[in-house]
Amino acid sequence: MKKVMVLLLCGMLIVIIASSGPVFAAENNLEETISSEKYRVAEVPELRETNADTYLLSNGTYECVVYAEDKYYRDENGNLVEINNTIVPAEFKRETNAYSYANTANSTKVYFSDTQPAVLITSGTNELAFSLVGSKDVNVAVGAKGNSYDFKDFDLQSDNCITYADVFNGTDLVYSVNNGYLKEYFVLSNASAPTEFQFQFDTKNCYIKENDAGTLDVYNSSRDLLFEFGALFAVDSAGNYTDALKYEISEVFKDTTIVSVSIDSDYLNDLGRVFPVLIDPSIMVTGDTSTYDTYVSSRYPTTNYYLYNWLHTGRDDSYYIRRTYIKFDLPSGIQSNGITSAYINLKYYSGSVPSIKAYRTTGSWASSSLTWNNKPSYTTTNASANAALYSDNWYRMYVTSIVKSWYAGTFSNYGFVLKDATESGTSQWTTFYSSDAASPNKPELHINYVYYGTRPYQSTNRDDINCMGYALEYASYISGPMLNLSLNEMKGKTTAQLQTYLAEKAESWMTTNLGASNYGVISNYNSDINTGWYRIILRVGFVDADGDGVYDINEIFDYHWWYQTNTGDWADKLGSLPSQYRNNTYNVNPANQTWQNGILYYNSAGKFYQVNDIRTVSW
Amino acid sequence: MKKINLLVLFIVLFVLLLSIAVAAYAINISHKKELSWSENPWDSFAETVDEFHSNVNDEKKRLDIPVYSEAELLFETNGLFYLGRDSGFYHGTNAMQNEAGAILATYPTSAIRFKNNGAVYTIHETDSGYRLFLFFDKSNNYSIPMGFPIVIKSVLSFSDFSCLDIGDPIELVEKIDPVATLHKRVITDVWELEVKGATYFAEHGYPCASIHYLTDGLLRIEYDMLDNGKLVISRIDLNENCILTDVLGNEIDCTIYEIDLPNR
Repeated sequence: MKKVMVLLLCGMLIVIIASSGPVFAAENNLEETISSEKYRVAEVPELRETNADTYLLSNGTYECVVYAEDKYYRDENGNLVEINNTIVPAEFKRETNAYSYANTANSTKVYFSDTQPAVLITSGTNELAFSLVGSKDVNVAVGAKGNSYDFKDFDLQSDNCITYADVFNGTDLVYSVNNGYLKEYFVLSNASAPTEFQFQFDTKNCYIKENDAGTLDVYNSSRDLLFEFGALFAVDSAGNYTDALKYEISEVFKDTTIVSVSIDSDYLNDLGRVFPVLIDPSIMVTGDTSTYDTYVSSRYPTTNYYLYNWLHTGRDDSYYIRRTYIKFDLPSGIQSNGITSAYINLKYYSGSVPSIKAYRTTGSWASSSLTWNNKPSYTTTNASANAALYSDNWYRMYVTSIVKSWYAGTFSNYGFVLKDATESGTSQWTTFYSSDAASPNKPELHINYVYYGTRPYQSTNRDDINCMGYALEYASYISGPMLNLSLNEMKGKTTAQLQTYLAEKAESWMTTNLGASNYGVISNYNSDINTGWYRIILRVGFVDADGDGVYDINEIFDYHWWYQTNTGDWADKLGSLPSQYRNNTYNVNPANQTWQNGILYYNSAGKFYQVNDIRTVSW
Repeated sequence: MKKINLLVLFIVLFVLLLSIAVAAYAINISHKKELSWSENPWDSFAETVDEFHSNVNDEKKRLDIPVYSEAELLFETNGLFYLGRDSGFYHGTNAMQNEAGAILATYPTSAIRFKNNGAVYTIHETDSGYRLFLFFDKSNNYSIPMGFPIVIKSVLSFSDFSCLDIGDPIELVEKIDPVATLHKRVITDVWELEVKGATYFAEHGYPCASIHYLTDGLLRIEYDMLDNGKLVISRIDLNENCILTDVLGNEIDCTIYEIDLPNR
């Protein structure tokens, strides 16, 4: 009796657990099932892009992980090298200045001195050197060793941060190296700290100019914009924000320019101010601002939050409604039809359990200028289901249809807006890691896909090219006699045996005419193939007129070749007839398709090959 | 004794001369060539036709017809063509087993007659005295033979066949024109066709048939295969203009120039 009760209890528990799980669209469940059946075999280095890694999966398909900013940069040899902004000791001299620290690996290098705050930014041939005026010799430390600040929206303790402690009374200066920009944080520990700071810029080869937005730009003598100063803002430890700060070009000398940054003293002297207070001037490298994630706030509708470290959704007292905008530059080489699933992975940092969805943004935007007031629209069509927790603070939103529509060219990729279902009250807000976070906490777009090869559909009505010539991109009618097929040898063979026989003949032909290194056997219609190659299938059949199951000389036999186009759909050419594009045959095994020749039908298994797409036949 | 010695000598000389004659004759027999794609023999037949055009358009000019062994030319064709088989059988196939280039590479001949209407026929002869004619035309750029191969031993007239009726066995046709025997050998020995297969092909437009080129037209005799495997006449059709309609409905002019016929 006890056993029965235990069994019943177990059964009920299983039912309860099963029924209490998140309710997603059917597509999501299917995708989860599929994805659980495969695992990563290896990264495919030749498919690596500056913002994406691609992995070969155990089932022969691919998984591309795309980031909202570059993960790699190209070194002087053109090789993709992983960006690493961790600040490490690095002795470097430029003119009379000596630097002792630098970020590890990036196309933009930032060097720091070890005594007073002096910085050199290099990006290609462009350089910008500056130092804090009036600072005393100070202690320098990297990462968490440099400070213990814990600002809600700013990370000052990662390994890409370097702290100059006590540069002035009650003032620390922290630099943070990020992709394409350098953040400076003055941290004021009390109201008696200075309200103005001066930097001396080396302007022998450039000049600094104020722009209409009240920030500063750095140009070279050819008037090329080299660097941009970000909008100034300050925030206290309670999250109270102000943009009552300003840049000023104080003095211009022959080789140097003095720039001052000042904050309204009223903000610091406010009785409600909670110290420490953080002031953020930042310098962006022009043309290198390729990070596409930020958020907007309805309370500060003209403020841009590009330089903030986290992403936000929901609503709270400090910012009211906040929505995150994120865009992933799509890697090339993925075909819309080949995408089996796509989803965003976002890591939770703090706040409520999110109830966010990803919507397709319908207008363009830029991280460095997006505000609540200029934010683009979005559509609810094909929006994701609610983000679902899938692993250790990681939330996932399936956006397969949206990503496919981008690859198909149906819509332009303007990215996503992540919006909480609840944008009222003050308690439903969530903070996520942004691209500023150290790996592996950055937002990711995963695209699972089948690679269809490189060869586009090529239309031809030439009657001197048959299916084999067409599939192998060989301008010839490669007939049975041309393959040295012997009807006497074929006589008495089953379809499968004919397939083997014909394949041997065809492979002999291909070895001589294409080269053994330019084709290879693959096991199935969706098996993995080399980059730059494409798939073909050889089928064979005969009309078994007497029904004896084997080919007789009096019966007609034929073979047929198809190739897979870069859309995934297959194409073929029946004899001397015009070529044909087989719509909606992607993800379909062509060996299951009937091919017809007048009154005669052939149905056989197929043998699959991959072929190097190197020929350029004029059709 | 001298007489006996002379007789022996005479016999020896005779055998020797006969051997020399046979050997000489054998040397003149062409043999089919094994195809090899690496030798690239598939130059367009159309180009070949153009090449021969100026030489063969004179209908009074006698062509040099190559002689092949009967077995190689008519039975060991590896599907390049078969007596009694409508070329429509291969229509639309990818393998195109009957490609003109392959035929001419296997059985080379310079006996290519270019007719005034743009049609072309090739001529081969067997060591047994049959002439084989394969017809090509511009409609498919001379890529495959059209209609049926025609083989002629001697040119008869339709009156020679007047005794035939529907239901008569093919053996009766053989007695009139030995060409029928060649067709029967293809059906029974090469194809090894049995009733089920024969019925299937007949239902799909490819009945067993023999073609006879006559002084007064082109005779096409079709056969049913009985359960015992015997072939009996099912249809007799004479076209007085030597027009042959293939399974696809193409009308092929099978007129052969007088000079190209056997014994002319």
